[in-house]
Amino acid sequence: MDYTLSKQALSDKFGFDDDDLVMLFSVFLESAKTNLERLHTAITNNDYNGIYISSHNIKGSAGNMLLDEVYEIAKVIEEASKNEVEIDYLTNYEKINNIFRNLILT
Amino acid sequence: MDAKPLILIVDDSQDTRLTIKLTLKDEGYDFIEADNGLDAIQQTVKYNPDVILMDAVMPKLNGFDATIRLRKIEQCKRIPILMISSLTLNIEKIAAINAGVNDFITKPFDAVELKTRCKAYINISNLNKKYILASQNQTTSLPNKNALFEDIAQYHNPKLLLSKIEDYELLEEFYSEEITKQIEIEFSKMILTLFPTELNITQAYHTSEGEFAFIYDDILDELSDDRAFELIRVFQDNIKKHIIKLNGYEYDISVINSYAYGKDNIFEHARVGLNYAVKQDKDFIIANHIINNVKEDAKKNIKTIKMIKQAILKDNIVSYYQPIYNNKTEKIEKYESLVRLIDENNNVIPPNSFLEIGKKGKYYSQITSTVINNAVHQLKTTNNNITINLSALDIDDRNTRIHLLKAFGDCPDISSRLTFELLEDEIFKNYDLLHAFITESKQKGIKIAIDDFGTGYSNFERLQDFQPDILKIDGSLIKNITTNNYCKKIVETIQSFADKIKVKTVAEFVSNEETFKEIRKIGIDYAQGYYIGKPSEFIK
Repeated sequence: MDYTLSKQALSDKFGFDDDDLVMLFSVFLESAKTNLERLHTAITNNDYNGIYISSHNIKGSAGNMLLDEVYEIAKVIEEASKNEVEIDYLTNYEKINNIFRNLILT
Repeated sequence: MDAKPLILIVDDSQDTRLTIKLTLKDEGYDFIEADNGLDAIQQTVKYNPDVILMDAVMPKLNGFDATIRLRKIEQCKRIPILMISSLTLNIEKIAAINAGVNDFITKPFDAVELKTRCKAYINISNLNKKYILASQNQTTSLPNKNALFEDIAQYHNPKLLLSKIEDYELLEEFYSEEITKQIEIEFSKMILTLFPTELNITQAYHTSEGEFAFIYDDILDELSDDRAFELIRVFQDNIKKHIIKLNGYEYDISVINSYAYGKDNIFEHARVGLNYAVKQDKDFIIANHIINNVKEDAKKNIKTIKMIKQAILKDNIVSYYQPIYNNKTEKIEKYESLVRLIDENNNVIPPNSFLEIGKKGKYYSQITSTVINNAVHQLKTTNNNITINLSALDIDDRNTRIHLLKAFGDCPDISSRLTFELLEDEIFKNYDLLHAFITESKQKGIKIAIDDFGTGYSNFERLQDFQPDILKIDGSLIKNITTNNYCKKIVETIQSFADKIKVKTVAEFVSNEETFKEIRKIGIDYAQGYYIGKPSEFIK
């Protein structure tokens, strides 16, 4: 299933031109990839602090790029890990990871 | 400044940094970035940005702590820091403001808000920079006199040391302005290390060319004058031992120090001390000790100038006359005119009490003018021969020269009875003018006498330039002539020389009969002194 990021919506929000949007998108993807890897490691190691930091970053980036779904999930992870609450971090991680794997910019 | 404003973007998220850069793309800024608080500090110190956009949560060092650290660094104290974060709690915002954050930009941010705030803070930053320039020395970038005054105002019991590089102006002449500036920069860099640690001096101020200031707040009033003296001595010795090395050359610098205390006018006092030390050829002075004397002297000088002004207004500059005796004809042949001032209480004030001060003020030429007029009157109304004293200042002054030649030049009967007395070792600004003046005077029949000959820098060779008719032998030689054989020999030699160049001689300070007899024996042509007659208002 494809998740689409609307260039138009982003352009409306930022006022950036096409080339800049494409560049921003690729940087965003790279950043997200790194953070997702860190999130996964942290979850595996039950590292609440690590979960907090990486989910906070993903949340911020996603919010910036109008990826509301990712934003919401990341927020849940962030809140829980901040209070060191036990939830199903892995499933939430999978959801985000899945979206990113299928993400395209149109 | 036409350079683009520089913005430092600090955020551990690369896409956030990129978004900010893209948002501000057309605002005309340059950007530098950091992804953690430590790097943010490094970048700030290195590039001195105009504004910092700082994320709150970052690895290694977060935004709060980075701000706290930055605010401790002198050059970073005023850089506006805008915290970009999703902080919403007031308590967190207050914590940020206490850390030194100036304002907030909330995440996710609004492009217009971001642009507007950046612009506003860049303006503030520019104003700050102008202010800093106004309080910074251009050569060394140390805080200048303005900054010093501001800082002293905060001190409870300030003690100030003013240090001046000795003969700074000569350095510039000898080495060139460029090198002297470099010497100053090197000096300013190492100066703090030369202070004894007890004084704990951490800041140098560059207050004038070659002049540096250091202040110490003696809150508990523990630093005595003697202890301060000792410590500054150590400082001075350290400077003497230290040689400045520049481009392979070595420069030896010595320093004059002026130390002052007391909050009122502390800097002015230190400066007065410095000037005094330079004049007195001292290398260290406690300004407070001499301030009163200097103030007294200044008061006295003002009083003297007032007195001169009054006397000129009321026509109380008068000429006294002292007779000059011809040893051959045994008659009084001429009179030397000597200036006197009658003050408000009718006291007769001699020239050494007012003439030097008069030279510094603007009344000197008026005094000379009166002397000339009095002499003219004498010459016109009597048959006497008159001499008047002229200084280098008189002859260098064009108006005085014109007045002199006009007053005496027209009538040969007058000019042939007149003598100008000049001091041969004075420094004349223009020798050609002097020469021309003397030649013209002699053409009109005026005679030239050299005053105080035989002491000071009396120069036999230079005498030619003056074309003298008369040599007045210095009184200090004459008065010892009967008791000091060496003086007698000098006088005999001068007489012998005068005979050879066919010039007449006058002995000054002839105050008793023994001296009078002796000078006649030597063959001196004229005698002047208390034994012959004291200066008096009227010619008998």
